[in-house]
Amino acid sequence: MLFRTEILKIKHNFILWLIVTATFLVPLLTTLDFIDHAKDVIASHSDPWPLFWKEAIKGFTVFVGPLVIIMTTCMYMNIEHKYNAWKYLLTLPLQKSTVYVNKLLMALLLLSLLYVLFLLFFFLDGILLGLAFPQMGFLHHQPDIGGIFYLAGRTWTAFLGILAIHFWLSFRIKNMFINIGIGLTGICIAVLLFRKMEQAVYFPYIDGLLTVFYQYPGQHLFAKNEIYSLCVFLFLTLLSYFDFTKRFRG
Amino acid sequence: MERSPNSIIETVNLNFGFSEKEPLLKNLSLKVEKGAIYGFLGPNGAGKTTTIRLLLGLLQEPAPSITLFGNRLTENRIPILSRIGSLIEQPSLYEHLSGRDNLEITRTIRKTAPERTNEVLALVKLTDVAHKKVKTYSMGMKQRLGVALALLSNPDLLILDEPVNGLDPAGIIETRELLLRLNKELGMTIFLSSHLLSEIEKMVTHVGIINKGTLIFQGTLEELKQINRNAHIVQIKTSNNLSAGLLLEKKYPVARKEQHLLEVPFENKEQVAAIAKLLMAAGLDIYLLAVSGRDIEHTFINFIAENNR
Repeated sequence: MLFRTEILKIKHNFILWLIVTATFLVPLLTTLDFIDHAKDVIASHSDPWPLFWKEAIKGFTVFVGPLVIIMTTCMYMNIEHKYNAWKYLLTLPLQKSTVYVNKLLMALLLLSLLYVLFLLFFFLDGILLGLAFPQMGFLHHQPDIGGIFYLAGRTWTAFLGILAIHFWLSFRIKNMFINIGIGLTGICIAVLLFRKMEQAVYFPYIDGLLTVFYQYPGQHLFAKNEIYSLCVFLFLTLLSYFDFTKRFRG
Repeated sequence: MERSPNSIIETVNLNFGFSEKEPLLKNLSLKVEKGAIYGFLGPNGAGKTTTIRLLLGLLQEPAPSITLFGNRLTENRIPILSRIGSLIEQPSLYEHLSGRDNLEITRTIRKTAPERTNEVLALVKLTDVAHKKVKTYSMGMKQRLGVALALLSNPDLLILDEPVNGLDPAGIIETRELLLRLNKELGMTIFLSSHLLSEIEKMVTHVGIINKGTLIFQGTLEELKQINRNAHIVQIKTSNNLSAGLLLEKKYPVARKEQHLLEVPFENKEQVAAIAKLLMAAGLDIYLLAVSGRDIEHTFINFIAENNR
């Protein structure tokens, strides 16, 4: 029941627009790039889906992933701060643990929605390319659905660490822009550390990039950076749960 | 202190502070009887909101001393909160949503019947604008929506922090009539805070006055009025009210000290003469020395002034 109210809170909010715009933009830019290089794609006479997917997931992970995840998490959690609603929420007959779990589930749902829409636009753009340029072969080949979902799932996991960090910061820092600023700093450091992958694996902001640039395709179910991101998520979620239920007073 | 079976709110020697050196509440013993409209009065920073936050479990009491509906708050938080409707400071409203959506959120959490949304909207006269986004509402409409949220679950106890703060006179009258109706027709116990007695004087049955974290008066409004009937003040204007104020403060509780007017409570006419002599001896010219009875607001101000001495 509480989860339904969390969904209602994002109605008329910029969060949904941000998610739709960001997920629409990356496949669109990849599509435009394919149109620009249409002759090369047609000349290769090969299955265009793997290349189309590789470019799209790279664009998504670099340009959309960390920043949009940080922004949506911060904006969603900021709803309570902005309208001074924490104190009201905590005076309703609810266990604080229930409030925490529902907030976290909603943050995870927003992350998942980002992927659902991205994949939807990706397939749609592929089909449209196939219709507009039949010689490219989009309609003559089947996309590797399993492989696409597998890699998407791995990057989803690789982003969990970032989500946990900013989820915690979001109820502790009232000013959303400070939280986003911390995220941007993290992303900048990740870009600087990118060439030093060995050390960078322990820096959560780089985990998504590592999945698509270095660990692609995966040899195991999860790469080292994804397992590390999952551990960061579980550890920080546990800490923030106790912080919220024992110490947070709105 | 013996626990009264009729008490809806009871605190026994409640102490609270964010640091040990600066206690915000000192031995606060409140008692709010069933069916009362209890006005919790005090100047800004006296500890009213802190008390309300403690009553609602938003702040942790250092030792279990709060009892609501006869049960300890620390041990029965959820069942107690399910019987309370509250409004703390400014109403917490999601301004990007409509008034109806705001009510739906609380209604869903409180698991009340769907028709209750329309009932409370009608009660606070917001039915016609329920579909509009809250950011388009006036201050008074937001305050009424805040009250509607508090009323959704048909609570036994309503806790309102400064419910008429920022409202225009019409809004104050509307809120007053609504609260009186809830109290009379539904038997709702109401605990409301204010820093102005005049704003709530016409609706409260009981009064508690807090200053610097200490409860300095608690009783019925009649008891407060009785004190008022026995009290008088002398209004003074001199050639230098600042010096006069400082001089009088040494011997008398100065109720009001402003640049253009001083007010000093007195018990007999000899005291008035003594005040005049004191001012003359200090070389001050007296332009006004008027004796008058106090209204109830002055009684409240005087309580605070005496406590500040």
